[in-house]
Amino acid sequence: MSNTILEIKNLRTEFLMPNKRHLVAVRDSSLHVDAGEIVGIVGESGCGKSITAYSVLRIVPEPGRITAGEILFRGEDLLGKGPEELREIRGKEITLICQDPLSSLNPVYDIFWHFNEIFTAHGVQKSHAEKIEQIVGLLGTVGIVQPERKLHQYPHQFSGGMRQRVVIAMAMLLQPKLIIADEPTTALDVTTQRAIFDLLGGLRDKLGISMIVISHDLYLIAEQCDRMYVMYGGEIMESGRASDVFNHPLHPYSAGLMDSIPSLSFHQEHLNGIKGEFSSVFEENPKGCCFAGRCDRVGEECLLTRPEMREIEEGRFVRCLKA
Amino acid sequence: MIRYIVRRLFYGLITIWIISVVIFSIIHMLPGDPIQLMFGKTPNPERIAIVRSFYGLDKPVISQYGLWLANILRGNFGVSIVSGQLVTELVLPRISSTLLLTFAGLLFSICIAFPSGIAAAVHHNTWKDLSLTSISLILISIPEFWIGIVYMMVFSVWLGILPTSGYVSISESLVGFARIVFLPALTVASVQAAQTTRMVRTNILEIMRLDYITLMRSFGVKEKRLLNVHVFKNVLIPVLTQIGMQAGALMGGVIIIERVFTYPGLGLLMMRALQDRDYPVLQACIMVFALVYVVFNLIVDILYCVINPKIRY
Repeated sequence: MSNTILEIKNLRTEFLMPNKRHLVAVRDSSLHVDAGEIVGIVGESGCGKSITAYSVLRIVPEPGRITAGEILFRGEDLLGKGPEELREIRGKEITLICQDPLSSLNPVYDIFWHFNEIFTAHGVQKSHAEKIEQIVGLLGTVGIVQPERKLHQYPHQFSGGMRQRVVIAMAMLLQPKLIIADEPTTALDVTTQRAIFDLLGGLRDKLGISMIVISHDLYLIAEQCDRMYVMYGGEIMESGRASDVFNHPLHPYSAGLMDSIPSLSFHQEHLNGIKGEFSSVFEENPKGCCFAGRCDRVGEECLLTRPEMREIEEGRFVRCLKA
Repeated sequence: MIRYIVRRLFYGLITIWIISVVIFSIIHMLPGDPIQLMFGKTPNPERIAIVRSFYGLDKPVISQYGLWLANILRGNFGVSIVSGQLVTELVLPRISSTLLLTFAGLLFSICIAFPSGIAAAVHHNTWKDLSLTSISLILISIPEFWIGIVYMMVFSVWLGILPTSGYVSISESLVGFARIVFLPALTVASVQAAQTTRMVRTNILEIMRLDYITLMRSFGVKEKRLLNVHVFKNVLIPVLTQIGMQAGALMGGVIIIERVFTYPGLGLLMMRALQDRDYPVLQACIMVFALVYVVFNLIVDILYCVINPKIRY
């Protein structure tokens, strides 16, 4: 596949806790993003979605470490790069959109300053007027009305949805190849969620930027993404075309996840869920499947053998012995 | 901006007026009669009555206050009961020496606190951080006058490089004045700096973790710039508030430290006036301290709204 933008191979990200224990947040995970593709990652809180995203940008917070695997961006391994090379890739080639727009802009600086910082960080030589023109154009693209008036306003003068649009505009400033959106809509209300997703989809269509979208919202992921990955306990459990995974989940966890979506179409006595609780302490070398404790299809072999990713159909992978 | 400053100024004036009432009342509630003290062991009732009416102390309290306030507004703080000198003559020359000490202390405290707070935050959870935070904890815990005596021991007695006391006016010799003011200012600064260091450290660590820093890091902004620009301006807001609140402690410290170093400032004058029950001098001293406090907080308020765009004028 020559048009693969990003390929993560067997990534392992661990946190070395003060008690000398290793907490494995991402284990043996592989995923790839093709040019112009939107890839979704879904899973419950704490399953390693965000850490996967941070690993790509190499900004995993302390005491996190990437201990194994490869992250190939346009064929080059990001794990082998020095801090300065990485810094040049961040913001220019790969950009991030954070989870909570209310806290993703610096409250003591105005909007123009935020964009200018990105220009400065990457040594962009442009006149003030040129910069203003480009930023105003971008803010218009992401749907901010009267952008030239908003340029010198401060973040607290914007609503959550508007701030997320500003962040998206910042992420697009230097025309990156890949945008990683870490739960871009979680903190927003329903109508704004839709608008932001439409905006991201539109950007892909117009500019051909590839995206990784991390979300809890299965409907939006299924609707907007080309392919999706389901994560559980730091591992990727299932992957495939978004509509396939959504409509015909193969892994019992994916099935449970899709089944947990509340429905309005018929009278529901109670909300379906996945029984048991997610264990947040990740073992270093687990025996058996990490979902076995909550799985309703669990068999003896599931407790003894760790399942590997298997290709069931063309482009359809699942990490389950029973599927 | 102008409206904001005018409003702050107005609040400042009201504060000063309330302080004037408080000063006036407290001093009149203190036990001890200065006129009787003046005559010592051989009181002469007739002459006491004359002196009492000379100072206006026979009038009702309210009209005494009215008279006092009217005089103050004209810059007349009266005459010292002890020496008979004009209060303004006694107080004015000392204002500058106390202010210089206070600002030197403040300057030292800022110059110590920011670098050490930043160093502690950058090297957090290492021996550097641990030693800086331990030193600051020790400095917070021991009284200022004791620190002053220790500095005197080290710099004056053992090393013999700085004088323990005395005074050289700044107009006479800048170097001489600096040598005099160094130890008292360092003493005052020590406790302040210790508190501010901890404040700077905690705030940097807290803000470093926030989303807007992570986001800018993900856009390729250099770590150094993240700390010096992105984080720093946000740290200034709480730290400035802290420094503003320290103003009272700073001047309280100055009063004690002047005594330790026999530095001829307002504090020393005030202590003596308090012992002698020299009301006019005492009132003038307290008024000056109150005024400095109000002006100090006014400056903090103005700086605050320059830094923080969320404050509306």
